[in-house]
Amino acid sequence: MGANLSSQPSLESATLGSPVLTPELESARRVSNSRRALRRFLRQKLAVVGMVITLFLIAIAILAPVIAPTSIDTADVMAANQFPSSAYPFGTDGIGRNVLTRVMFGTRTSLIVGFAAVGIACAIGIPLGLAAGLRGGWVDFVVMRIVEVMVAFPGILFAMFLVSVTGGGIRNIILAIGVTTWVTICRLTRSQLFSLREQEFVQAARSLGVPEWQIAIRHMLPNAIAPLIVVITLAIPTAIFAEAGLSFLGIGINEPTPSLGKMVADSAQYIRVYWYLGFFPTLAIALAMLGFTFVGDGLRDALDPRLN
Amino acid sequence: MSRDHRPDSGEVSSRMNLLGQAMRRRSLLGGALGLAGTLAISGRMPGAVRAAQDAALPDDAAPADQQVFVMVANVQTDKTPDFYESVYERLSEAAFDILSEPLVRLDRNFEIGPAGALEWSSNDEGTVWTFKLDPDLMWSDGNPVTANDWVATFRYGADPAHAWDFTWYFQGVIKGWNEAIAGEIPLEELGVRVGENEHELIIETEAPAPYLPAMLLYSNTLSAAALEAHGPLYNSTPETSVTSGPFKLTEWLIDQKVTFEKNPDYTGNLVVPVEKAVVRLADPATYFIMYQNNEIDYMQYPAPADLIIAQSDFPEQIYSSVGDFRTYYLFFDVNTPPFDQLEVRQAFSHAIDRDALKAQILGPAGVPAYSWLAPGFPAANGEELSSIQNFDPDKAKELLAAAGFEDPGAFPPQVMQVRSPTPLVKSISQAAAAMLRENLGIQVEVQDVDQATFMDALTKKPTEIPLGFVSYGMDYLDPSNMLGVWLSGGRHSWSNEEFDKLVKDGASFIGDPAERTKMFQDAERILVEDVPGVFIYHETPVQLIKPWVKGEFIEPDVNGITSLHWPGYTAMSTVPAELYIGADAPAGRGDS
Amino acid sequence: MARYILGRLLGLVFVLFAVSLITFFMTRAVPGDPFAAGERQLPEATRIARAAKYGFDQPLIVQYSKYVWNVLHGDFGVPFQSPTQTVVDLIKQTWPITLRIGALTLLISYPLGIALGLLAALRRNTWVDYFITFGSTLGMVLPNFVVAIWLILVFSVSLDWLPSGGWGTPQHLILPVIAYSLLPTSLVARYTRVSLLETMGADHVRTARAKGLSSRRVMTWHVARNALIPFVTVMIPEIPNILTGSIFIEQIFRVPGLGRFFVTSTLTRDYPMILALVLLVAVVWGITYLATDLLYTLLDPRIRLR
Repeated sequence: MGANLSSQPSLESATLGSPVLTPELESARRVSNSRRALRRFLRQKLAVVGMVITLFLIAIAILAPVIAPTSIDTADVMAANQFPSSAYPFGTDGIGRNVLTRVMFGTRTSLIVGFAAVGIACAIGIPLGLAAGLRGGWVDFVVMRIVEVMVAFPGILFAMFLVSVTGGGIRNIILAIGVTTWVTICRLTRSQLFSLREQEFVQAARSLGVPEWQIAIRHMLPNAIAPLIVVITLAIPTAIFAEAGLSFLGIGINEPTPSLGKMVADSAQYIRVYWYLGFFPTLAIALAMLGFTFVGDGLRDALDPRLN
Repeated sequence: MSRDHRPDSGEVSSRMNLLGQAMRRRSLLGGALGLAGTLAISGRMPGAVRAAQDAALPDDAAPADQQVFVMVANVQTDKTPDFYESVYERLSEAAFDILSEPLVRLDRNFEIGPAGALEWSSNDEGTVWTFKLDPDLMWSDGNPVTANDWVATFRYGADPAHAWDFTWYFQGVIKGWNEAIAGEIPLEELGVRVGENEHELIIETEAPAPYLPAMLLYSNTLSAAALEAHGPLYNSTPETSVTSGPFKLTEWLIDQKVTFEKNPDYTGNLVVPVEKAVVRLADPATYFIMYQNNEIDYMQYPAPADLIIAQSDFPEQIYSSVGDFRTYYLFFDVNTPPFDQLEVRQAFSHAIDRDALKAQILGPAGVPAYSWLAPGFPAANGEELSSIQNFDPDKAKELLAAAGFEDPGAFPPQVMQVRSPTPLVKSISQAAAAMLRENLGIQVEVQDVDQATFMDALTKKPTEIPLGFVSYGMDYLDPSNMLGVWLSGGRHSWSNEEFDKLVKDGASFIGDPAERTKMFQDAERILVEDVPGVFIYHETPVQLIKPWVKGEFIEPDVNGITSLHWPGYTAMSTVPAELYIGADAPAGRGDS
Repeated sequence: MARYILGRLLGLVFVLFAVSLITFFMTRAVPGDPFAAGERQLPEATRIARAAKYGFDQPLIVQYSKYVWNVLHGDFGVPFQSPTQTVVDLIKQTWPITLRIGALTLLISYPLGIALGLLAALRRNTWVDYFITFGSTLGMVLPNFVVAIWLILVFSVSLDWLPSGGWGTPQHLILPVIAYSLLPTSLVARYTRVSLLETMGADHVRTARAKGLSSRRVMTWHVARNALIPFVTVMIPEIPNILTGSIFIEQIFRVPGLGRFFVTSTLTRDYPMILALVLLVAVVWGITYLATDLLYTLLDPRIRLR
């Protein structure tokens, strides 16, 4: 068993019986560990491909104001509804905006919304899930009741309420989406801890007097990370589409700022004629999704203490 | 002396003239009926009418069992077929108000003709109106249609316990209405009562109301007996539904479809060739595919992309209608800086290129607007007023500079709120905002807002929408109705005493019609010049109509309109009578 | 265990109370009047009359207490969207329709997704795996309204094999179920693959292998059981999600189901319907979560619910 766990220093220390690590030793091991993880990550071809895709999209998002062919609010009505051509590689929309520009800025908006909303969801969901899974008992009871209240709660109503109180804008949209999507992350963390807390290495660490929270963060969370990564990568496109739904109701992001989700939703009406209106933003979302998936898989393998 | 008014043309016409109108109308529909309708004052035989109706089917018509007209309505608003139950939750865009007769109805040229009332007149002041009812109308439960039904209907509309969604309509018009809706007087004191006999209805008005007959287009009566026995929603299921109109309700599958079949005992003056009217309930986004699949015969408002498919695949099925003479416009809260400055508002009005919007986005769905009243609407004066808000980007920039914004960057960023837009309105509002950015150099964002939130914010006092995009369409054909939207204390924060006076005086003016028209035109000029709104386009809704739907409507009417236009497929209009199904129609439509 | 379940059910009652209370006050806090959809502003007198008609003129706490009292007596009110029915009638009429589509979707998407995920995991890093990963990614990013439109264009408009929408015959079920299955199939495939790979790498499986258990037995017993915990956590709660329908599917295929009410009730400020749906969701999810938690103990006997 020890052999299988050798790549994970904290587990190693727990199971091999060295009760206390000096801080220096700890950080040295961490570095070598992350280096090893990086090496493992880079060994996987798909993970690298995913990384390239993701970095590419992030670069577009950051550089959109510089590299986009037109500014974000340019609309040449006389050049409306142009099919893709050399002048407009992705065509123009119904009021003459360059779709390439909009896909670039849309990627920017959607990545911000996706990452930030899921970040909030993790920030709420993981600690609550850890607490519930670790403590069980009344803590679990209370956290799960909060989850049940949240899951029943109508998201649109909540978003409307939030916007009526604090006004619209990207920040509130992120908040509204984040606050309503932490539930799965929380429940998954909790369920992973349920099964992990009964396993030998955790019992061993506990018997050695390692504090509970340390066991949770250092020993259990890394073992729970694999399914979490999947849920998190899938939560990003969900957030992107949730933003589109809210924008549709006027509680999202205002035009002329585009978002990929909004572009796809708006294009549904035009699908039979101007196919490119929906095609390119969908492609961008699909690319992002593939990128995250591959990176997620790579990360999982790289971080997983038990896989080589 | 008594007077009759035809507010649509603005002329006072004599009683004889109106009767002549009605006669001519009827002869077009079938001479036999015209005679039967006017001569047989008492004891008209339904059988004779039936014969006349069958004879009215033209040669190219499908047989009677195939006379099925299939429409579509928004699944969101399918609560009732009755105006006096709910105006905004009626079966939309399709067949409503066909289970009874209104007092008057419109023909396709927007001329008023008799319906439930055969004739009407007022006292000299125009404040007491007497309607002589058609004594032969019968409810399907065997009761005669009498003035009591209308009295009950109006009382129901004013009943505070009902709290109808259209109470504003008769505010200041019907005597006692304001007090009745506030519960200050008993409903029995409302100025609507039975006259000398039960076939005479008397309506008293607060002030001279030359437009009253035009308003009473919306007077499809409820059955007093059914109202009493089954409550106001009696028409929502065939079991309790009663009809005195051309159709009867035979099926209501909630959220799926509503079926009306010809009322065999109908004795009114509409001649309806169609035997069965089917209303499918669906989401508007699916209408076009249903239309292409021959699942419906008629639809309105195809999305811009669908219109392109229609234009390439079946251009001959596209019609531009007048809708409800709706004008889309940008509006300001004139109390919120910088829109309290006339120059700023004027600058906005000169910065939007309506011709480009028409050419690139609207197509057949609208015409450029520079003023409030749409072409063809009484007192419309579009040509005269078109230079006041014309497109002139240089002038726009000058005006903005004159308002103190030499540097457009100093202009506060704006958010234009748009009321739950259709795909077309989405494009127009965003293009308009882009033109403001382009031509004025200012920042304008566009925010789509759901209907409930938007109307709530708009009508708050003070309003919460500094800059918005919305539309209004008429309720009845009189300038006082359209212009009334801009009266002080109404929809918008703009207020102008001179405008108010002109519109209010014009509304109750019973003298020379030309003078009345002039008052409204003066009022509209004030409105356009003071720019509380920038008028963008008059909607001419696109309709798609299958080639087998035949009838008079495909010939241009006196206004040059060819379409199944307002008030649509209802008993308020003679349009149902103009329409029949050709022999070329596929069989079995409307079945599943 | 019985005590635990009882505790959870009592907890659920508390949740219903909390969620209805919060929702109740939030519906009233959100701008927009349920009856002011009209073009013109309602006269003040009519606004007051409306408020009185629906009891909105009373203090919120009184309104809420009355609501709770009525609900305890089985009266959930009349939906503003469909005043000819009661809320209970409306749900009784529409939910079975949604349930039928949802059940078929479950029957197709879960087995299919599991099979695909299994295949991808067993053929890890081969073209089979890539193909399935790519396909499931597409299934997750293509919005179901886009898929639905394409299905209608191909099978209804072009080929004329199936109706474009509507309800009543088995044919009406086919396209909605296909469109609706795409996302859950993709999700199930993805989770199955990950869970399997995760568990195949776990030490106790290796131990089992080392003990000389045939790899086939390792697969079927150890792997399946442990892989199911994250799978159960994520995919079981998808079931009530699927069974309560989708507004897009129902609108595009003209299915007279319950799904659209989750959106339209909020948009039209249909207070009784919003509250009823919130309670319905809370009950369904609460029970699903309880079932999920109980499943954990079956899957891993070491897990104890406290």
